[in-house]
Amino acid sequence: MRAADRQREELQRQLLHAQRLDALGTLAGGIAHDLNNILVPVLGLTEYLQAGMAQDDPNRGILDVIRSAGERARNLVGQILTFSRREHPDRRDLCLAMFLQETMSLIRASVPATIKIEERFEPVPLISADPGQLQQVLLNLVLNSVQAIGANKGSITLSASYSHDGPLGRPGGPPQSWVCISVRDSGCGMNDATLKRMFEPFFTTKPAGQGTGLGLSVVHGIVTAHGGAVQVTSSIGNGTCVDVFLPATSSTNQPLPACDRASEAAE
Amino acid sequence: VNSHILVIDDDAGVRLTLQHVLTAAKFQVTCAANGAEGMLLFLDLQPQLVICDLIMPEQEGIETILQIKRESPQTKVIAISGGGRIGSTNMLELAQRVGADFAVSKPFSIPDLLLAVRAAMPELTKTAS
Repeated sequence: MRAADRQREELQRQLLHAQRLDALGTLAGGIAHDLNNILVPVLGLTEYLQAGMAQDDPNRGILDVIRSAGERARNLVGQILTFSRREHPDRRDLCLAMFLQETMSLIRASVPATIKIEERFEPVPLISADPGQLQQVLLNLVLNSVQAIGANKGSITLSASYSHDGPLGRPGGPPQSWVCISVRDSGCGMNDATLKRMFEPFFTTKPAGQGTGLGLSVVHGIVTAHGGAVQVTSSIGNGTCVDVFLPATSSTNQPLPACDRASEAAE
Repeated sequence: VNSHILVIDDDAGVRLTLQHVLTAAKFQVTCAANGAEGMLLFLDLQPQLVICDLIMPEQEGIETILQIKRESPQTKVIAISGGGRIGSTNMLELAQRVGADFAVSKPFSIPDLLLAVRAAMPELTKTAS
């Protein structure tokens, strides 16, 4: 009975959390819509003026500054829309081990040499996911880990494993296989108050101007749109582990050496 | 050749931008601030192309596109929106399902928009070239 009570409490907590994020998503989606309208004249009329301007016109540089600011705003709005699940994932079958290796080779450049990166990939089933969006998830998680480690020496462990049980408190339904991607770091960790709010858009613990507070809300939006879930364990001084659960498309594990062939077949 | 374009959008900045850019590209442009006003102008002017926003007060875009296509199936429609999705519905996809010939998300680049306009009015492009 006590276990059942605990599970009910956990489900209620998750429901409240989901409702809060959903409300924030709707609000953020509305703001994104208005901002997209506002950006039409900023970007459109700048392009229009530049098109009719001589190459050596001294005002061309000023218009470049306006255009580049507008493009930054457009990217920010894109992130807000991703959080509020208003961006469609463009899915295809992915062999996770190979995808993670490729992605890490891109991300590695933004990780300082004082941080050691370890990769632990088990054979897992194929998943159906948007490669660009999943890359964004990993980039955001790794950058958060880098910031949590700061100037200290530390490590980030990226792992992929098969999960029979899936995320905690997942809704009932047909049995399903899950794949879990974990990003574990040896950083400063988070307290309970931060853990509760970490997926909210615009929530950040970084100094003003150093973070938009969108990174983890984008992670949450993308994973949820893929039918998955994010679970986080963290404590001050002991680092953080973020588990991203994604439904597998089959229950058959792809042996690691077969990845090349699987991905060629998917092309 | 009729080169009249009707722009229906509740955002004055968007209307002004399209008016400038399309007039410079030698189209005749008329603007309306919502679907109801847009339908009155549509019936009066019989434009060859309508560029229609989706989320608007008074009368929204999906209903407006349905009415335009019912009145005049040969009129081309470009749906524009900055909203992406409402709930589980992708608004631009929905607009194409109800008859819009093209869909462009905001904020668009001017060359992309002109590409859609010219694709919607191929006779005009042939005459011009």
